[in-house]
Amino acid sequence: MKKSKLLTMVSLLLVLAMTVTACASGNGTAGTVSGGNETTGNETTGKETTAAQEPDTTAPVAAGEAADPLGKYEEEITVTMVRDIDPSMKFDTSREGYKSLEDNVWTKAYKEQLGINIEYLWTAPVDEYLSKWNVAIAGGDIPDMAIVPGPVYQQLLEAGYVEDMTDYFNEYASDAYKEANSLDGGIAEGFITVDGRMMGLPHVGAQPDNVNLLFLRKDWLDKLNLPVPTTVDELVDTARAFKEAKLGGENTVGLVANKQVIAGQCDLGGFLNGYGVFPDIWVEGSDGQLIYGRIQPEMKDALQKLQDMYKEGLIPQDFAVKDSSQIGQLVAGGQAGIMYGTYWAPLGVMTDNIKNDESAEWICVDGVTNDGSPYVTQGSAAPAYYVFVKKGIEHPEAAVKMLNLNFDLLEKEPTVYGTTEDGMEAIWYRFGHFIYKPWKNMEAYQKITKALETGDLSEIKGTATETDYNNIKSAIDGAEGGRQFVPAELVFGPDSTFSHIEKLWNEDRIYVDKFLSTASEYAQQNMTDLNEVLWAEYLKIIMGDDINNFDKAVEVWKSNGGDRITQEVNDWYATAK
Amino acid sequence: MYYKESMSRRVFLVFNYCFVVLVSAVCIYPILNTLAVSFSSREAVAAGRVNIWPVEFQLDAYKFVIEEPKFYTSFGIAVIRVILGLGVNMLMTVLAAYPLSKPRSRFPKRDVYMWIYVFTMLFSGGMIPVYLIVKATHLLDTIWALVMPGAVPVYNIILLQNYFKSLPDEIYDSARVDGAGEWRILYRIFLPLSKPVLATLVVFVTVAHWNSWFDGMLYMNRPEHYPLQTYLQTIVVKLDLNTINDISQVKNISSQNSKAAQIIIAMLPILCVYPFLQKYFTKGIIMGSVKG
Repeated sequence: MKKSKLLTMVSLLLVLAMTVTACASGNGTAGTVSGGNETTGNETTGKETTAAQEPDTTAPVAAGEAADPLGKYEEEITVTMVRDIDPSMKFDTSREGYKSLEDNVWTKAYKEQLGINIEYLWTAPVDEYLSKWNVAIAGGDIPDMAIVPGPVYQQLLEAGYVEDMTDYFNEYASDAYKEANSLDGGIAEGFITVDGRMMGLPHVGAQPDNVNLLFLRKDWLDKLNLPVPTTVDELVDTARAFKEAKLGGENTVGLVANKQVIAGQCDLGGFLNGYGVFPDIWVEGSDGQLIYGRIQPEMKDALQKLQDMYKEGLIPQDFAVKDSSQIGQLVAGGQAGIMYGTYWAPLGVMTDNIKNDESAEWICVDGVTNDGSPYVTQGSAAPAYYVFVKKGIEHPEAAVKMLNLNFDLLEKEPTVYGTTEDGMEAIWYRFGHFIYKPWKNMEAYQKITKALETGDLSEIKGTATETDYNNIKSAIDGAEGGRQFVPAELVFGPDSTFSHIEKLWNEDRIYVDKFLSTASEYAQQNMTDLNEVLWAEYLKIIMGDDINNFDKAVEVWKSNGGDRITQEVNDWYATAK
Repeated sequence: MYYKESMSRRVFLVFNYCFVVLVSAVCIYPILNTLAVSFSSREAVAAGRVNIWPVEFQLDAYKFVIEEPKFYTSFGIAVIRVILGLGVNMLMTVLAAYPLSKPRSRFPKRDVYMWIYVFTMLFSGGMIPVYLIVKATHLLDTIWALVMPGAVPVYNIILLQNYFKSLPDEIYDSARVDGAGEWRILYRIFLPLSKPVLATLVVFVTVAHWNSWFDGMLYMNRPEHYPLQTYLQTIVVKLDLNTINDISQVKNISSQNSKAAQIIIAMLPILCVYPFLQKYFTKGIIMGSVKG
């Protein structure tokens, strides 16, 4: 009996030992693989640094090939990629050029015009893209190039996987790509510049148009004979009037809000902007130092006002537990007539209201301020994605060439490579599917509005299509079936979100985030939690807590890491100025 | 037989029924709501007017789902996965449970093997090591990546092993006397006697395979290869509005009714299988776990 127990123990130990060794050797292999990659990577960088020092003689141009932005490789090359799949992306297997991710007009163009074959290691839906990347990094599966979200870019950068693309960009980028890069005021480039070198390629197309605007039910204002409010107090009066007149039935609410500060629709971002508070971006204080928008002292007044409004019942009593689409039911159901939102807000819950209620007529206005001064709103410009190119691959310039070709083909044949006349959006198929010329929506608005004035459709191409034009025209004319295009009119029409953004931008009333760089690892790990705790305190204040808790909450935010992050940001600011 | 119920018993019953009805109402409400949403118009759903009865009844959501090829492919993959997973899991369970149910006199190192199984139940390598193994064995992006990592369900083995143990030794002895080998005893005697517990295990395994979504996301390199629940997860999870990069993404924000329709359709197969196996369900667990 005893003997058998001993045996049991020994065999168990043996099995355990075997498992452990198996694990260890497995890890070892993985380690060596990635280690090997890094070594080759470093060697290549060594060469490139020399190249950078003497750009005239040894520019990184492959032998026997001039630096042609759209030059074709004599011998076809293959690059590995990964990408996210947006639900908007549709294929039609029966249609040549739109069949699948591997077989479409873009892959054909890359192959035939540039000699580049794309091989996808894996693809994942947008929501899973980040987690899939995390496993891929752990498994050592790094593709040659990819469009990656911020946290992944940061990880790859710190692990030394990202290629220094400065010379390749200068050498190979086409005029169109370079122009797009300059249009956003150096934002995209700023985010990838490390010690003056471009790590990866600029992911252009982020422009500060995600501002906060105010939307009002015009038909309700007319019914009560009220003017468009221009100050916060007038806005509160309007909200009260809407509620008391029960324009949306028994449960009419004044101003809709949801649990997030900025959600694109039904949020409080615009209200806070009216107090000179710019939540979620870095603002320059009077002392020249950057301060985080959520802890600006002006926030206190704004919270006090919101508290009063909440007490009076002008804000939905359960707003703090609902997200923007849940609270949006009030808008869609016609119980709310005032909401803040960004440029696309009319296409969100407001669309449902416009469909539900024939009489609903929304207008977009700038926003209101507490002191009646001109409304200044915020625009963040952090690119949501980055162009990653792996260090040490044979043809890093292939990434630049493909992006060059994107700009080229979208300009030349938008109905083939952009959106076809019957709505196939080939634009999603390309490498860098979120890369656009900055302000492309603005351009669309300008083209459509101009064509509406002059009746001349010759400019309607590229960013705006004739279908867009006809839809918006039918909405304005009140033609049959035109009602469904009213939301689009509110975005691209003559009096629309973009007409206001144009005005705000031209009058320098969009305050752009001052921090134009990737956050440090510490900030990435802690900022979200810090902000959530802080905002939760603010929500409590709005729902009736003592307003002086504001100072306490800010103190907690600072001492729990906010100060450290602020310091880091200011250190960057000092070097960037 | 009729006997008069006491007052207190009747009061108890009234409250008991009320309570049970309440609990079932709480359970059934979300399903009814989803059903109603799937049959309602998009605008009514967005305005929050749908409760447990469809508003502006229409079948557009189902039409949309029927025209969505991704739904079919993932549905097919889920079915194949359940079939393969069921086969592999049941085979492994039976083949492991039978020898482990033998007394120590006939299987001297039984407990050692048992502990090896139990050890894996308590300690696992974690997500990344398992991923690396799946990768090293070239299972990535194949249907087997969904089947093989969980091929040996230890909990089920323990259940079945205990059930086998509870069968009288005399049955085994008499079969031996009649000249049956181990395989014949297993297939002709033990398995037919274990139908209740086997049915239970079939339900366990089927439901687990049908419902699991995370491994699909982890091991599959293409959304086209996702099983149904992984696909559903990607459409049901809400788009984070802060990540909107392009105006064309906005149209994906609220199509609650098509999501609801897909959830309902995904529920149907399990709803159909469940009642038929359920009668074995409670019986199986009790008989497997209680000896004698």
